[in-house]
This record gives sequence, C-alpha cells and structure tokens, in this order.
Amino acid sequence: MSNNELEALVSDIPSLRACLIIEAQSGALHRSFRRGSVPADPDAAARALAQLARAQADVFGTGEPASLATLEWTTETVLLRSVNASALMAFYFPADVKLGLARMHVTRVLDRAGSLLPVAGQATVLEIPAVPAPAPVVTSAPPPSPPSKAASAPAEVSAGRKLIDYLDANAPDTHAALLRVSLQTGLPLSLLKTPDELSSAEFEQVTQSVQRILGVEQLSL
Amino acid sequence: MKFDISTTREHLPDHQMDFLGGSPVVAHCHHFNLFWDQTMDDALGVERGEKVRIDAAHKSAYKLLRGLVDAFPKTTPVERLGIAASTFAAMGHGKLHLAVGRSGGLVRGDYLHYGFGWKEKYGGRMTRSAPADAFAAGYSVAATEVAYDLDPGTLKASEEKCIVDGSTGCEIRVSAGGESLLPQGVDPRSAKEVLPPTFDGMYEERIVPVVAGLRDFLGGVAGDNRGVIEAFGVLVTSHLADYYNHAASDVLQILAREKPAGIEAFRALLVEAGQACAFHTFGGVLASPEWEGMVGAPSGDPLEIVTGCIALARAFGFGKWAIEEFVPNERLVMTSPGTYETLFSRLISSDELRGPAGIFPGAGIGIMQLAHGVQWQPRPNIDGTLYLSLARSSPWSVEETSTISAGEALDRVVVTKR
Repeated sequence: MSNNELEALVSDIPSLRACLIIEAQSGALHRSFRRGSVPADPDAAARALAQLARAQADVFGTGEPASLATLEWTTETVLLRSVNASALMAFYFPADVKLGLARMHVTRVLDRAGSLLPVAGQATVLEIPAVPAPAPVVTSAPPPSPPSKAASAPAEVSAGRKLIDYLDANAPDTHAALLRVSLQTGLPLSLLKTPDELSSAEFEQVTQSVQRILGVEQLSL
Repeated sequence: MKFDISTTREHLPDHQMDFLGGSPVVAHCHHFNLFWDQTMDDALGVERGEKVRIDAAHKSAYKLLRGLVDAFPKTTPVERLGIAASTFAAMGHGKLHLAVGRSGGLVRGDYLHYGFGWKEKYGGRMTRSAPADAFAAGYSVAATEVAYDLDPGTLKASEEKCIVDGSTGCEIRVSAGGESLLPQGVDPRSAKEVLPPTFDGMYEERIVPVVAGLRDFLGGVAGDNRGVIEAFGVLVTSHLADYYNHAASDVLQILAREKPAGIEAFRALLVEAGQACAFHTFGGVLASPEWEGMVGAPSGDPLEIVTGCIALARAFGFGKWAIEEFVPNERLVMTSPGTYETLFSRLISSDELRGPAGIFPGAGIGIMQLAHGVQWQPRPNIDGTLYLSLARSSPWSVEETSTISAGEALDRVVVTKR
C-alpha cells in the first residue's frame, strides 16, 4: 500500500488540500496526500492531531471511535475523524468550502478507506515528544536507523516504508519509479513492495537509487 | 551544391517501414526518447549508460551517413559535414555546428533534442548534471569519420557542456582514441529477406485511408530553423530505429552477464516507454487540430481511437500493425508481420536474449488507455498529469504471445483487463 492508493482514493475531490492517515496511538503519519502547499509539516501535524484526539476523548470521557473534531482556521478547515481505535484521518479543505460539503466528502472517503488504514497491533510505537522533533534527513552515508531483516522494532521498519513513500510522492513518472529502483539496484520488485523487509545494505542501495532518481544529494523525509 | 536526401528514402508498403540512406527511421517524441535513454542509464549507471548510448548512436549514425554519402559520390568532406548537419536538423534533433577535421574538433549544438527535451519536461522541477545528448555525440563522431573516410571507431566523442546543467549551450568534443566498432543494422534488402508475408487485419477500410493521409502530411514535416519539430504537443524526431535497438540490445547483453536480476525490470521499463509513446504521441496527434482537419475530432468511440492509433503506428514506420480482435473495454489483440524492434532482433540480436520488445506491447496498453480512459469531448489535454493518473490506475495487462524475433510467423500482443 502506498500514498498512490490514498491519492487514487481522494483525487476526485478537487477542493481537498491534504489528507493524512495517522496511527492513533503513536501519532505516526501512516499515509499522506498533499495537493499544493500545506502550511504544517505533515509529521508534526499528525502527532499534534493524535494528541488532540486523545484530549477530546478525555473531554467526553469516552474512547468511542467515530468522534469528529472540526478546526476552523482563517485559511482552512481541518476535519479530524477517529476512524477506529487504531486510525485517525485528517482532511484539509480551504476555509471557503462549505462544512456540509466537506463532511460529505469525508464520509465518502471513510467508507472506502478500509484497506489503507493501519492495522491494530501493528501500529508504529513512538513517544510523542512535547516539542516536535525536526524532520530526519537521510543521506547516502550513513543512513539513519536503517532497518534490518532481523529487526523487530517497528520504528525502524517505517524508515524503509517512508523512503518508498517519499519516492512515490516525488519521483517523475511515479508509477514506474519502483521498477527503476529495481533495475538500478538489482533488488526484486517484490522486496521493494515490502520495504519493511529491507536489510541495512539494501536500504542503503535503495536510498542511493532514490537520490539518483530525484536528482538530489540528500533526502528530507 | 544542394543534396536532396529525400531521394534516399525507401518505403516498404507491405510492412509499413521507412528507410533513409538505407537505415530504418521511425517517428518518436521526447517523452519516449528521454525514457528510453533513462532506462539504459538505470540499468548500467550513468557513465556506462552514456557510453552505450554514444556507441549506439555512433554505429547507427555511421551506417546512415555512409548510406547518404554513398548516394552522392564525389563529395568533399565539407559537403559531407553539411549533409550530416542538415539531415540531423531535418530529423528534428537540433543544430550541429561541426568544426571538425580528420583528428576531431569541437561541435557546438543548439536545441539538441535530448537536452532541449529534458529541459522542457523536467527542467522546472529537477536538476541534472550528466549530459543528455549522447545521440548527438555519437552522431557527431560518425559524421566526422564519414566526412574524412575514416574507419568507424577511429574517433570518439564526449559531451563536455550540456544545457541540462545550466550551461548556455551544448559542446561535444570529437577526438582520437576511439574503439573499433561494427556499424551494422537493418537495411531494406535484409528486411525484405526475413520479414514474413504481410497480412490485413480488421477494420482495414478505416485504417488504410488514414495512413495515406498521414503519410502525405508527415512527408512535409521537418525541423524548423532551430532543427526542432514541435507538433501535436510534443517534440517529435525522425529517429534511427537502430539507435534504440543497439542501445537496448547492448544493455541486455551486459545485464545478462553482470546483473541478470535486472532483466525483468529492464524489459518492463521498455514496455513502459512504449506505453508513454502511445499516450503522448498517438494521443497528442488524435487530440490535435491537424487530426481534426484530416479525420475529424474523435467522438470518443473506442474503436475510432484504436483504429486511429493503428494508422499512426503504420505512418510512423513502426510496422504494419493490425487488429486481430477488439472487444471494447475488454480485449485488444494486435498483430504485425514485424515491428522495427522485432525485425532488428531477428537480424542482429543474439538468439538467447531476443533483443528489446517494448514498443508493441507498451503501445497496446497505451492504446487501450486512450480508448477507454480519456474523455475525448471536449478536446482533452494529453499531458503528464493525465498520463500519470491513467498509468496509476491502469486495469490493462499485456502478453506477447508470438514474435518474429523467435522465428514465429508474426508478432502478436494480447491486451486484457487484469
């Protein structure tokens, strides 16, 4: 599963600026779709929205899913929806989009988002810092926290996935990008489709390949 | 003295293939050309990829220019260089200023297709340091060798400046110290010998008149005063089929020796190149005012799109593509008594590797995307955004079920819904 699938799900909503799928417990960003510039860093926004959802549950004294928070800002409206115990979704619309229309779009997407949501029990476990950490930068050497085939820490697993998601979001001819990585690295496509399984050496190979495809010397994930 | 290179053209009507100076030529746009070159580099790395591409251009251009010069005996080196430069520009590859002698020299290039095309397609959002004009480099060294009657491979070339990295122009150095090479390729005589008998497909009554009109129209298209052909929303070239085929065949051989795990992805990316070609070039033509004037604006009937694309493939010199079966929204079976790729494979490539085969299967998918994924009324924008959205959600898969490169009677690809 990739950001592409999320994009396919929401691409027919022209007014949607961004959509985030967030792991409810950890606040980790699971998938994202962005159209044009979005004011907040998606990782930081995901963590903050997860905190907000928990605070909302405290206010109402219930952890029931399907709660809804609407944040109305001068330039945009953010609808935060708790989909189930494991997943939140946030939708960014311009402030001039009617709330009823935005809610209708949200309902439609939620009906079809099932396969894109994080699975209970497999959520990434991260401490939510009081102050959002700076976005990590991946360079060719040494890679930050490269996952290994034997690794069991989910936080490390997400590095490979983040790398592939980043490629998905930024590569020219995105649909062919994984094939290009496969050709450049000699790694089979099946492995690249399960980036959590990349060893440290493979992660390094893929990082270099992504840098080459994007024409950059370092990646800001 | 003026040299009319059109006198060296030869058309094989039964197989819808075109030759210039005895070398097969096809029409391709910058989307296809850039993707093809990029795939060579993806396979081998930029440095080796560039060398393979320069060598492929060198071999194919030497054969072309030798054929052209032989058609005009008793020409001087300066006249031969003039023939080379004017042919390059007429084919839509840009302007070459060949300041070269027997031992080489410096070639200045303006509007060179690959660099110019890369800037057009990616320049606003990507950076690139590796030069893009391997074809111009290989062509320049071949032009120098042919001009001075040197053996192929006497000289070598490298692109020292390219506009893709922000340079104001392109410069190619031709110098001594090349490696011997064999400028082999497809020619009309060998093509006639090995191509299977031709045949018709369905809906010929729709296709044949359009091919005739297109050939009339395309016959008058040549590079403008920059050596650029801007048409149908793309940068078009008349290109040497041997260039694509040499490059891909050489890469396949290297992959087989050094990185066999990459062959599957390599072949899949060649198919992707074919898909991009069909979408951008066929789609661009179908959506163009020129097509509307010649055939009428597409109504959106899938059959109309499929037959239009088959006519375009024939007019572009890809081969006599035909429709064996078409079920709208379900299935397309295309056949041909050879394409410019499978003909090369049959004649030149090694038996085990069977050379490249991207254009026929890739175009099969692209044609079905155009027929069923594009709203043709009102006139659509055939652009990268639409291509990406169609490619990402494509329900089509393709299988090559027969190929003349393996000694079979015809080329056949079957496109079906996944």
